[in-house]
Amino acid sequence: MEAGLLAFVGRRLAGAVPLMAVIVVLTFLLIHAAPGDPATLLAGDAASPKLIEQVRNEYHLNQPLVDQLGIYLLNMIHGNMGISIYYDLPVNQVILQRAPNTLLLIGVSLILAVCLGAIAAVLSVANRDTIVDSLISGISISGYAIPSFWLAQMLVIVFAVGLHWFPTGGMTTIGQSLPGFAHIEDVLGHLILPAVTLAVFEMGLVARFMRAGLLDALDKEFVTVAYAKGLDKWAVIIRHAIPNSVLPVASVVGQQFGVLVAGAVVIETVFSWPGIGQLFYGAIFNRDYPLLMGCFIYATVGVVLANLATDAIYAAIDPRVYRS
Amino acid sequence: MSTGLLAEDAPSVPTRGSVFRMRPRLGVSAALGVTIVGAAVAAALIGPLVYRVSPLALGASQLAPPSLTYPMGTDNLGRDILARFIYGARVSLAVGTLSALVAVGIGSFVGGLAGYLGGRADFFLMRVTEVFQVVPLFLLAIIIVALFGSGQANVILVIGILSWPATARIARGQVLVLREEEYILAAKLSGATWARILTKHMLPNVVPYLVVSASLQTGSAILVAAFLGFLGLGDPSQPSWGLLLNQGQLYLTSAWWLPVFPGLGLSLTILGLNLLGDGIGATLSQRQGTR
Amino acid sequence: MRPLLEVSDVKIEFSHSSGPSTAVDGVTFDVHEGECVGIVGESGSGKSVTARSVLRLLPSAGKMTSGRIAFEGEDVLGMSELRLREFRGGDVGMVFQDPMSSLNPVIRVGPQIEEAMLYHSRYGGQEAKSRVVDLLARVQVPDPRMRSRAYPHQLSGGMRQRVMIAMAYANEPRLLIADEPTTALDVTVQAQILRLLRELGREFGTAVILITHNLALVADLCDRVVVMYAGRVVEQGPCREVISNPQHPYTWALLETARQMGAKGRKLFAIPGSPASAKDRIHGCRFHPRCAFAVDRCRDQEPPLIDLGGGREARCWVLMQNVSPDLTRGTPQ
Repeated sequence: MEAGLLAFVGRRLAGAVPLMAVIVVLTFLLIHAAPGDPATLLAGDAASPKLIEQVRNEYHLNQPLVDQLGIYLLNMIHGNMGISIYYDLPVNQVILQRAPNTLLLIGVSLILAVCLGAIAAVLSVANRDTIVDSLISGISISGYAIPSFWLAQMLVIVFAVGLHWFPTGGMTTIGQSLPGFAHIEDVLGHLILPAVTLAVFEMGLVARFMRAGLLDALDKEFVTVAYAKGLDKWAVIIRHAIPNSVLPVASVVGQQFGVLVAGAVVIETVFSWPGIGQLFYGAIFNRDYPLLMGCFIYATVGVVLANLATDAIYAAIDPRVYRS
Repeated sequence: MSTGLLAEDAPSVPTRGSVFRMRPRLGVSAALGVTIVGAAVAAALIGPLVYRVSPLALGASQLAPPSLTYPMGTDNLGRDILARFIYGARVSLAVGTLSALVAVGIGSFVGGLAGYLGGRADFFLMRVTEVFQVVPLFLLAIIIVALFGSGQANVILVIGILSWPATARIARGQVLVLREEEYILAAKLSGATWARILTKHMLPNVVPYLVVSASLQTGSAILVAAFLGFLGLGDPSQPSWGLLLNQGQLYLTSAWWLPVFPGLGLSLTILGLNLLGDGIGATLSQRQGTR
Repeated sequence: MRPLLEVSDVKIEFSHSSGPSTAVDGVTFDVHEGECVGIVGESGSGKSVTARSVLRLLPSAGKMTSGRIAFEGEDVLGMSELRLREFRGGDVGMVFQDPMSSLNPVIRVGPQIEEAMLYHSRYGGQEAKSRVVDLLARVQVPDPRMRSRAYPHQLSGGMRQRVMIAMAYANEPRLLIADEPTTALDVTVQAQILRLLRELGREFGTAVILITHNLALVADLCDRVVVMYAGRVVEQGPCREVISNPQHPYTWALLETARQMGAKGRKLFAIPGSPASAKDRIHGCRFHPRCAFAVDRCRDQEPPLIDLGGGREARCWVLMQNVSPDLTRGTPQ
């Protein structure tokens, strides 16, 4: 990687740290300001006051809020995010165990979304102002409007219940422990519906932005020059239009990471996919504050890193951004 | 320099289909948007008067598929889905519109002020919007609603307060452009206060963009409210579309009509609002002379 | 000998939402092998549109409604897709006006020159790259190997235009069309680029069509000149003769303006009014509202192209024959 690019990334990372700090503090205060007593919840309905008191001490719940915040931040710097009240395990451990599943889901969805969206955009542009173009535009716009959980339900009804092509949920088939390749196949089979659901939303966005980017690029003088060199329509689109249209797509997709994470929460719940989203949902109802904070922080860090990666890719593709 | 014919008359490239053919297409989508939104609003307002069935009344025939008596079927408690659908339209539209109003209200104020004052105020406000951009807002919404209560007022406030940055950016952008216009400078010279300048001169020019933003915000607010409802975080006493889908989740395999209709309603309404917002936005940029 | 390029009575129309408009209204000229022809005119004259139509590069709103363009006798309009792609860039190369927008900003210049050879030769990989370096050296780009890896925005305007020229010459075309190649450049660089074009033309034996609004440039470089106004050819002939003895008032006026650029102390002569384009409906001779020599007939009837012998033509009733100009004349229409 070029030195310029590294310095660029370094600068942005440094800028992100104070932002994160602010977010952490605010979130902490917010969560602890909520009504409801975690100690009572944790100790259970039939707990004696003594037990509740014990729990309270154990989790520092009776100390002033500022002190609790201080302890939390200190621990966080050392990598200790507390113990999950519900799982009785370190928050880090619980989250990191599930993180790969969510990353797998989001990753595959993004790839699907970008590929399908790009294909849709190119087809749309190559057949400009025809029915194909209108159709694709229509589908893209619809994809953006349809609530993903409803789409999930529809897909389940049609493909899982109706056609029996895919399972209705989970990440693996229960009760089986399959070796190597068969395991991967199994996971993939469970992955398809959730990934497609998540992708549809993004795909519409990618298609729209890329189409706009392509049209914009095709309007430029260097496209005429390309034709003057003897290139045909497809060569022009692939060699000239697409490289220039990638930028708006990259920035949009990066910004969408936050939305994807939100979508993941719902999708994972609908499909019982064992990821961070499902974890997050459970933590709310269990008033599992440490886990809740942990999930939220990891998600935010993820978004920050995604934004950063987007900017880096942007800079790498368009040499004008950071080189001058 | 060869300006004249080539520059002003034709795009400089052999693209298929001319620019001029695009105008009717934009009109179609805006028209479609208006139709859909109009239908939804009509259903919400007039529906209960036309279809006089209670959405809460329990009935004897449970999980009945769509038929002439029950056009959208019934749920597990025998309640008429069509009635719940119409009522749900009311709830979803109300929540969406009010949230959007909150968001646009806050956003236009903050954004307009930032754009107008510039300098440190602008810098500070931009940092704040940056925070909002980075935080996964939906997760925050879930947290707040779950911890602080899921009443309708709460939901509206939360969505509104978390969505204002988008409108703020638009308002700020417009104000920045307008600030340099001559008639503003003239007004300043003649001693008008900034309040008067903002309201009398700038506001009329910013309002169209705010309308676009409001339309899109309503769409997204309805979507977020539906998400919350689906997760069981909406108001349990009101049959919103999101809640209906939540209730339908249990019966995916047995009663398909429970999730299908509310979902369709949601999708179409949000789609309509997006089309409407896009349509108005496109007309605005055409009027300005940009392609 | 048959001309390399024959443009015969070409009419080009553009379609608008308000109806069609004529950009080029019956233009005829030839280009012979190895010769340099200058096409001169102001904006709206239709010169660029004419040039682009040779390569069938008109935007979708534009259409050639009548006339014929033939390259070595072959009808350009009738060419198949495949043949057209050979033709463009292979038989005919083109240099465009603004090198900044003519080059793709996210691709290095070397590959963009390579691309010019893509459909026309069997050069691959290393061979193509070294050929690119050769070409860059030929167009006098210093340190060509390093420069070929540069991005367009890293090069100066003059350098970028040299890259464009290298691209146009990559396949040793028989004809080069240069559409206002120096207009976007600094004055100091303009002369260099023009000299380069002339040298390359001689070296490769390429015929050159130079399109410009500046008659002075044509005087230096070209064998013949075609003067266009409002979508029509108003004068053409051997360059030296036309410039020393212009027959059409417009040509004369252009020369006067150019002459005055260098002279001091004289009243600046400018052609009154603004240039007409083909879509303006002017009765009679299109230039007459701005013409210092116009007579009544000019207003009533449009003159045809009159053959003056020796390869010269002019579209005028007056033909500069011992008439003194009325410089007070000429109101904007």
